Amino acid sequence: MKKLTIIFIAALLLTSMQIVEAATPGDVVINEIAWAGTSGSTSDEWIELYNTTDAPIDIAAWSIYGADTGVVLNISAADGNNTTIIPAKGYLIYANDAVVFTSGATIEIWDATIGMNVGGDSIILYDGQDGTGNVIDTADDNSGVWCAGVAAGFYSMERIDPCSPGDVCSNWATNDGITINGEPSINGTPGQPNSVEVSTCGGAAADTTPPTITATAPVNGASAVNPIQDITIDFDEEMADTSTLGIIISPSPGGEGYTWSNTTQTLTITHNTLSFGTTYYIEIDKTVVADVAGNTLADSASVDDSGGDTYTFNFQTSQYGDGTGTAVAYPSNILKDNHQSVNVIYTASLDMAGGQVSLYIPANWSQPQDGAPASEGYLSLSGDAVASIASITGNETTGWEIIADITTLDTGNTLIFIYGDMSLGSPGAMCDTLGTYAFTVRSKGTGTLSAIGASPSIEVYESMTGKVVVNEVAFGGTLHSSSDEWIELYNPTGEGIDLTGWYVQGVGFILETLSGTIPAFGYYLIENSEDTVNDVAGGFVDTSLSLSNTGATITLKNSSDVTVDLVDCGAGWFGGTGSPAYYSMERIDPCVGGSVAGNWGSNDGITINGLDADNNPLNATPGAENSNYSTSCGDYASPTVLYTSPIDSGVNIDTATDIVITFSEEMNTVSVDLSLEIIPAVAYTLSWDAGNETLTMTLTAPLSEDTSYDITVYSGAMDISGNGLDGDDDGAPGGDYLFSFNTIDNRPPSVINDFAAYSHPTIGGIRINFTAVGENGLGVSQCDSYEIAYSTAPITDDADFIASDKYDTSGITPLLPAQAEEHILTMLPAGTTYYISVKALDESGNSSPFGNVDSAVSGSYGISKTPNVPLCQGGNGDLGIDYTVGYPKLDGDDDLYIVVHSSFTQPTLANLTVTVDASNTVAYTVSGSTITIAGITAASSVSIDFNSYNFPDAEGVYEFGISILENGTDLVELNSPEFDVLSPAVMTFDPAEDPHTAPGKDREILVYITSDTGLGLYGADVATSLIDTPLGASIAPSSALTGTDGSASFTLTLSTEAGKHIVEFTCVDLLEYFIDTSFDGNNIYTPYPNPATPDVDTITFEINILEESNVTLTILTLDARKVVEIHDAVLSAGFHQITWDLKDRYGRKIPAGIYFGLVKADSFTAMVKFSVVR
Amino acid sequence: MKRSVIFIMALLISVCIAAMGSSNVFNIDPTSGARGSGSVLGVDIDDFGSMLVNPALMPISGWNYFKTSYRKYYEEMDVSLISTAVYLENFGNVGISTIYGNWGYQDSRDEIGTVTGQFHSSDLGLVLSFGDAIGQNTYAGVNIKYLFSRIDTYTADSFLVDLGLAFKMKKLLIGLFVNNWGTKLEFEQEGAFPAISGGLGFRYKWTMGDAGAAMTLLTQAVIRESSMILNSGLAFNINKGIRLRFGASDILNDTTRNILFGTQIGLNKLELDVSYGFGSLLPGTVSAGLGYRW
Repeated sequence: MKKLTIIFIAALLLTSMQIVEAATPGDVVINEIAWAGTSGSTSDEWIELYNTTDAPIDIAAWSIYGADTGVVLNISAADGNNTTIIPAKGYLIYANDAVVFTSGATIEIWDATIGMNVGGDSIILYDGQDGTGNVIDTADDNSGVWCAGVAAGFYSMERIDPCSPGDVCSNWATNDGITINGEPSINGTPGQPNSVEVSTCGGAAADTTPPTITATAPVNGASAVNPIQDITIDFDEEMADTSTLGIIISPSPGGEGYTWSNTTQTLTITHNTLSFGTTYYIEIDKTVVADVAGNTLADSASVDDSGGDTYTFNFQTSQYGDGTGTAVAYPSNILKDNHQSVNVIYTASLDMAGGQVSLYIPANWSQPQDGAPASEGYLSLSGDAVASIASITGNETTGWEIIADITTLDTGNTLIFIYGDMSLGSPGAMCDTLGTYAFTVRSKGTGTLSAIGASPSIEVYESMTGKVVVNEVAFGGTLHSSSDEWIELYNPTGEGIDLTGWYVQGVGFILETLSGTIPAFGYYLIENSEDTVNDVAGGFVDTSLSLSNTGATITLKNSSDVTVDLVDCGAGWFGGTGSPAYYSMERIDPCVGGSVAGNWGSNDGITINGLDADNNPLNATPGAENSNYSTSCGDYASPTVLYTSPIDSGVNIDTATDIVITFSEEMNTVSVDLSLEIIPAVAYTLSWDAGNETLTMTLTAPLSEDTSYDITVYSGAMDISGNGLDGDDDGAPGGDYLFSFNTIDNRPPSVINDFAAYSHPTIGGIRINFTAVGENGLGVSQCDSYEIAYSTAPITDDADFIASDKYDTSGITPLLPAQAEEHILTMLPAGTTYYISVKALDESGNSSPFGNVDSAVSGSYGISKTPNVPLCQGGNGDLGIDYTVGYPKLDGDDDLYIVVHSSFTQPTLANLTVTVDASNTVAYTVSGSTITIAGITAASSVSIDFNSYNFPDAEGVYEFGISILENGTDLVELNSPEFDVLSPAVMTFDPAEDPHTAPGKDREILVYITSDTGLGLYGADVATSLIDTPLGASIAPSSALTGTDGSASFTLTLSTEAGKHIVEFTCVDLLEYFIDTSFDGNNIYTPYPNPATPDVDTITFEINILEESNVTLTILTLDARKVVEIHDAVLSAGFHQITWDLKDRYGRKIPAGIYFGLVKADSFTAMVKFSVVR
Repeated sequence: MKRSVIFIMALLISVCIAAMGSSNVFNIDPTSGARGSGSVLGVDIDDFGSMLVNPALMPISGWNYFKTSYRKYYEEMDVSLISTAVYLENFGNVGISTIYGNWGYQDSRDEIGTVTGQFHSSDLGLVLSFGDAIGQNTYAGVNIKYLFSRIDTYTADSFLVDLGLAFKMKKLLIGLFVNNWGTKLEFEQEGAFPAISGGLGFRYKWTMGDAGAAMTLLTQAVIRESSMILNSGLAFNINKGIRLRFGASDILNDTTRNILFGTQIGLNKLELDVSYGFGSLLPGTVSAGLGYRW
């Protein structure tokens, strides 16, 4: 079964292959003949066969006969083959050798026997061996010369139409040398359609669709195109490679090369570098550019139809090469004042031929020189470019610009500016000022010089060598731990140094990066751990600090990686020990090299500082001067001013005093002389002490009295080492030193002789008047203060003045001289005669001489109001004002005015009672709101009663104005009384609502009217009415005004009948309240008092019954045992009270506890609990 | 020994007759079960709450027990009980209880009857119980109690003692007890002793069949101050789970009589009691309790 299946499948496969071995003439044709061989060898001849049918044909048993040579090539006898089957519409190459083609075409059959005459031949193809069988095809007309093909250049002979006879030369042509395939240098098309082919073989439907261009690069109309960019054109189908004949670049850049890819659908045009800023047109000939079927190009959006036979697309190259390229500088930092070469390397990103590149050299740098190799800043050009220096312009202020003309500088190549080219003997370039400098590079293609994207910069740094040193090393650790190692840095200069970015490097560790500032002459501790040196603050902690006990090299470098200090102890430490004493290694002289062994020693164990992590003393001096210490360091410290005479802000300085300034060190006297100024200017001579530290300014004339002098020592003052003055004492040079003083003031204010005192109508008031005398009698400024002496005894001289009490004048600001001073003193007690005198004081404490004295009686009037509580808005009541004059100057011809506020009832003779000195017969008048009382004297006592006045209807503060008209001319406003008027907001009752009050009693009810802030209101009108009461109840009065405590009292007489009493209280028609004394239904109420305390002998039960009934009232204990039955009798309907003496049925006083009162009537039983406390 | 104890207790009972004491939460039957069968707490060993009256009953029941009970009392008052007891080998039966009487709010009134507000009153009692056999079929127990009482802002406290005896003679159980013998409750001045009680009770129980049916007859007489209280009750155990109770109580020298009844439902170790009592004068009160035996 299996065998049958396999056979069947095999048979099926064989059937499907349809290999045709029998053929008819024309089925296979000789399609191309390379009778001249190839450039590799003239013997490398080859013949291309083409299968014109739609089925493969096997030619294994066929033969090829050369009619001229007589040679028969049996396919089966060939040297070898890959296949003998020609695919449908496919090719087969029969060649001299298997490797005739190194690329581009394949050889199916090879046989060295092939050898065609150069002069001509006729090739006949038989379908049998040895030239037998049917003639399938014949090539060439056998005229003695080949129909086509050229020996020179190895052009093949190509058949034009495979389906037309091959024995006529008109069907053959020479390869066009363009459409070619294969290497080496084959001008033929082995394995591909012939370059001249015009087939009539038919088969597939003819291709009549014209090709189109789908894309171009650059796109049509593109700008800023890189001049070196290739041009590509994408077609939508396979194109005839001859299409390249119809495509040109205009203007031609030269060097055009055409390469197809993507099965001849993509054409790449290479070219020489295009020109900057130039528009190029790609012209495409419609009649030439065609697909492989010969269809010419159709319109497309990617190109313009220029009319005629041409399509075009265009683009513009980048306008210029300006501002292109990159640049770097080397080195990136250099030492200040140090000569060396600086290289600025420009790399072109475009071909810069004909362009320029410029370099800017900043100010502070050496002037760039051209043509003088031995001079500082000599400039040369190097790199790949062919260039020359065109110009150097600029100056020391603006910097310089070097422009180099570029002859050639290709993309990616460099132009190097060597500034200070030391290789040519130049001293190099140098910068004398710290900073970071931009070396701007500009480039130019065809336009103008423009700055490139990022120009390099160079940092100029200062040498820090020796300015911070490694000063002490505890390589052995501490007693706490041998790992607790530390290094101390020291700043021997007079300025603080920022250590940011610095680091310490040793064998096996890098301590990075330090931070903070090491102060002038200060220390900086680097510790292994925070508490390595427990009591000295560390500047930096790094656990990687680990020093070998056998020695190490310690290098201190700054942020520019420049070595600042080096301690080379690689061969062993220069001092210090490990366990057990752990002496540190100390540097002796900070200004002697750190690698000098003799400059180090061990701590002496006596001069020590610091504690370890266990607070053990260290045999070291971290943060302090080493026990081994001497210094050869220079003077870096800025001088300061230690002290001056007079001192700063000194006062009362003698006008003949010399001015002395003492500096901290020896000064450059000339620089100090030039830096000294005193304002106001005075004449003086200068002299120095022997050490040039103390300067004395000897005045040639006295200073002015009472004058402020400012002395400035400007920062230009220097010590003998040239260190500038540290005037602001901040530890760094700079800042002026300023001090001031005031000379003595010996000029007191002038005497005050026009002092006058008067009584004033305020309590204790005395008015004083005098003329201001100024500060020193010169009339230029006011005095500093006044001194007012007062006494009830006469003040007759300066001794009295001094002995008298002094009035507090802190509230009095003196006026300028000659101005009139007037002040009101309050001299209590009122009505007392005081003698007063005044002196002026200047700021130096000088006092004017004793002047005149005057006396006056202190004012003694008083005003009070009644009531002194808030009034109820809209209320009514009596008001009063009492005034005690006590103003001595009132002598009976003076008037008192009282103005009633218009929101109150206005005054009339009828609603006023005016009493003066207890007499109500005084004459007074009323006009509008004003009450005028005449004949007021100093001793008058006035009372005005405003009877039953209505109060304002709005809240507020209402003033009753009071004033005195003195002698009919001087109106003195007095402090007028004010009445607060508030809205009634809350009504409360005492007692509160009570539902269990016994009938028949009088109940006094106090109604309180208060504001929303809880203040009782005077004059609130509270009205009352009984709304619902049993017969006989009443309340009186029907209305009442609240008193000064805000309450109004009413008496409610309850009916003897039990029932509900409802009373309505109304105030200012805003508020209502009810009191309900109802007794409803059958009930027993909690007896009273409850709880019954020890002082209570009886309690009263209240029972209300609706119908007459026998009623028992039994007292039960908490556990319901009977104590006593206190009532058992008939009660009428209504309210009843039953009193109990708190005794049980045996007459014993009941103990404390909770009890029940159980009432039982015919129609109900009820119980109430109550308490007894013993 | 027994005679001495009996003599002392008889003496104390006689004191009760003449005493005038304050009634408090310890005078309120707190436990639902025994209340349903006539409040015969002096001898009802089927209700664990009885130990608050006669602690000698504890060793007879001998169970470990947890019980909580609530009684709705008159005039918005109520009484709550939480109690537990365990048997400690070589020591005896011990228990601890908390009882709280909430006496509610009352109107506060002044001398002329004006209501000035309300105040609250309450009693809080703590009880430590101990009981053990003191001879063959003879048991004794003692409660040591603390009472804290509050009326309005007035407070007083007292330490009290209960003594109990029980004699078991086959189906008959006799209980003898004295309650609330202690120090004065002094709120303000002279104060007063708590109301002392003393009593004698009997319990007789016989079984009926094998299904757990039984009948228990209970009765006791209690003297509290000048009152004689008689309690009697009957309890039917229908089966092991359900118990029905009936009882009556009478205070002889006043007209207060009460009829009481209740039921108990047992679910394994859990017991639920509900009882209700009403009287000739006073309204009825209801009690409910939940117990757990192990």
